[in-house]
Amino acid sequence: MSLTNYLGTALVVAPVLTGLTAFLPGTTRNQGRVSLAGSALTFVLSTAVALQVFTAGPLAEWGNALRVDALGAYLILLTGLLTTLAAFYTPAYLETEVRHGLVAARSLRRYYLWFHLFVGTMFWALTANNLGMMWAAVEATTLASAFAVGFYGKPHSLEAAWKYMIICSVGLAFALLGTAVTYAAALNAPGVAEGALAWSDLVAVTGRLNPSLMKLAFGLVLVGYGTKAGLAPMHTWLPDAHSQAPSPISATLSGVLLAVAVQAILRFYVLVNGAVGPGFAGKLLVGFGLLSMATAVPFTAVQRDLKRLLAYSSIEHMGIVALGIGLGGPYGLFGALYHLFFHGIGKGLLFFSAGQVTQAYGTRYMSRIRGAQKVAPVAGLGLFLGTLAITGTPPFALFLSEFSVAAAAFSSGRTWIGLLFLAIVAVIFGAFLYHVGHMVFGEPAGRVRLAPPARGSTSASVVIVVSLVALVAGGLFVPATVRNVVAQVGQVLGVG
Amino acid sequence: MNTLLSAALLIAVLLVGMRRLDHAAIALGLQAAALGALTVWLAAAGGTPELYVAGFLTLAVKGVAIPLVLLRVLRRLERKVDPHPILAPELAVALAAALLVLARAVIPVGLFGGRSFADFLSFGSGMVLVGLLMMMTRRQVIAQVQGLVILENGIYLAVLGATQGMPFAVELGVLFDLLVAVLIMGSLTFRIGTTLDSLNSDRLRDLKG
Repeated sequence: MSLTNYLGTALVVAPVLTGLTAFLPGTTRNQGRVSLAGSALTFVLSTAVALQVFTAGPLAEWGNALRVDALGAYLILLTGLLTTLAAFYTPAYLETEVRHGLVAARSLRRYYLWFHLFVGTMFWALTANNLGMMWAAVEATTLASAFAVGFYGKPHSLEAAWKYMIICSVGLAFALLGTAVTYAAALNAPGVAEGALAWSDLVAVTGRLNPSLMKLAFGLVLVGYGTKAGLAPMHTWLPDAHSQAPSPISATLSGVLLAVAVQAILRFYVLVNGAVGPGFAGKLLVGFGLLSMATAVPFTAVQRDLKRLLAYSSIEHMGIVALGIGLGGPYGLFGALYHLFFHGIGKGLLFFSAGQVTQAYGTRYMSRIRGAQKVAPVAGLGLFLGTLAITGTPPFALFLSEFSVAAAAFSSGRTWIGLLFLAIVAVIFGAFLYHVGHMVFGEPAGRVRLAPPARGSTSASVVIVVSLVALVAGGLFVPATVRNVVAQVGQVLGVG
Repeated sequence: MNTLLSAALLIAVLLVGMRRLDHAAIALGLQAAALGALTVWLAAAGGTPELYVAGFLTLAVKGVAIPLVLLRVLRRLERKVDPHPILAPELAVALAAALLVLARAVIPVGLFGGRSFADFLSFGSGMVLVGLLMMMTRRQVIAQVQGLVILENGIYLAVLGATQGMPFAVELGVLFDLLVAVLIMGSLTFRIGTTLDSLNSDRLRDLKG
């Protein structure tokens, strides 16, 4: 009964306690400190869980109700890293918002409460073995982040929060139906333990699940969790929520929450593949993936709002991930998994940089942002290099993953899919670079707010540099340990 | 049993056309009470003991707590009527009834094996569609929340039919999530009402592109 037996539990509980503690009345500085300390602890716990899983195999607690396998651990690592960066970035960011009169100092404790509850629910979703509990956890992520999205309380933020709640709740209702159909398939299967909805039990008996039921279940689940993952055409809440939320929340929504939803799809992907063979789910994912990528193109090209630009990029990238999973095989899955991780880091970097830039100019409209490299040098650089990274330019990590997805298409003879993929990526690269180039370079235009660098912009700079280093490191070399980790995740997904 | 099921379905259909939102909140409570009673009936007919608890919890949360929350929000906002439903109430009710019949005809209940209750499964799925219809044909935000609750009730009924309910812990999680969701939506509604001075979701269509 030592603490190490309850590492996974601690990982879920720590953020919740952090949020509640930060919510206690006190000075905003102390609340920020509590948030930071709690995040540091959560980061240590997430690393410990991942290490444990990758060296000694899956972690099981509470009679297997809480279970972390390689897939879970991989995303726990991402969640721990990105939410800690966000927590480190937050206090100075909020201080500036308070100084600009956008939020009241006394409401910051609510921000910290919802942010950490949100983090806790994501860890819950990544550690729940029972598919029904995983559903409850994903729904809880919506509930915990809705207030964070509407934090500014302005008409537009309330509109975004409302759409987010309604669309995701309806979408997730379909995922609940899909989960129930899976349960029915398990109950009807010969020799499956009564009441089984634990993923680790189901995955052992996929061959005995009724194929028609599993097809129905996967269709429902893909619509449901696909809504949450921002796949088109269920993506309509995403640009609003990601652009209206405070920037560290946008980073977390884009970088991690979408990945958590993809994880849920992957769980069912494994089950349906076992029950009906690989073709069915793959085709659906390729379809939704390409549609999401294509949907992002026009909105990227004519975009005027910086944060909406980044949000549509998230839709594109979840499309790439879905496409990679759908194409399958070692290339496709490696590409999708690697992409999922580094899209998180890259999009975090972009939202962190965009947060600094929008604060300096007091606007999200790209036409009013000029010469950012002079006004906010580190953030301007982060925005520019982040753009290169997210559009898949070498030497950044997303080049490797996009290359791998393309290779998956061409090597399996699906040339048209590969060409379409490359064409969309190229167009979005051009549009992105056009928008961001204009913002970063050139002379600052007239009405720059030019806030005196808050004490905190140091922390923002640190966060930006750390993310950049990770993106370059992930692109330049893939050490044996990383290959081993991705291979372990691949095994969970039934490849290699 | 058929009486309870019919009552739940009749309420779903009527709700779609109900413009008095306070009456609709009470009707939702009655519908949940019918579903709770159905669950208890199933439990008595040889289900697990946990099914009793699920039935009573449904009664307490969906039958009492959620309607009370909705009524409280309506009272604080001093608005009880949905002024502009997109469809005329008569037409909405007719459409809802048609959706139930459609679901009865097309849901492949046979797939779910002998131990399912075909009526619960097919009409539950129909109720999901009725909930969606209500969410799409109303502009008033509270009415949209009520549509979501109908949708959730439909899922509950369908799952009851397919598998006699989810494992108990999952039912608890789902019920808890729904209660929190209604609380949060209530609070958001209140803020929307005070910030925009309107509860019309047409006022929430500024963000585009």
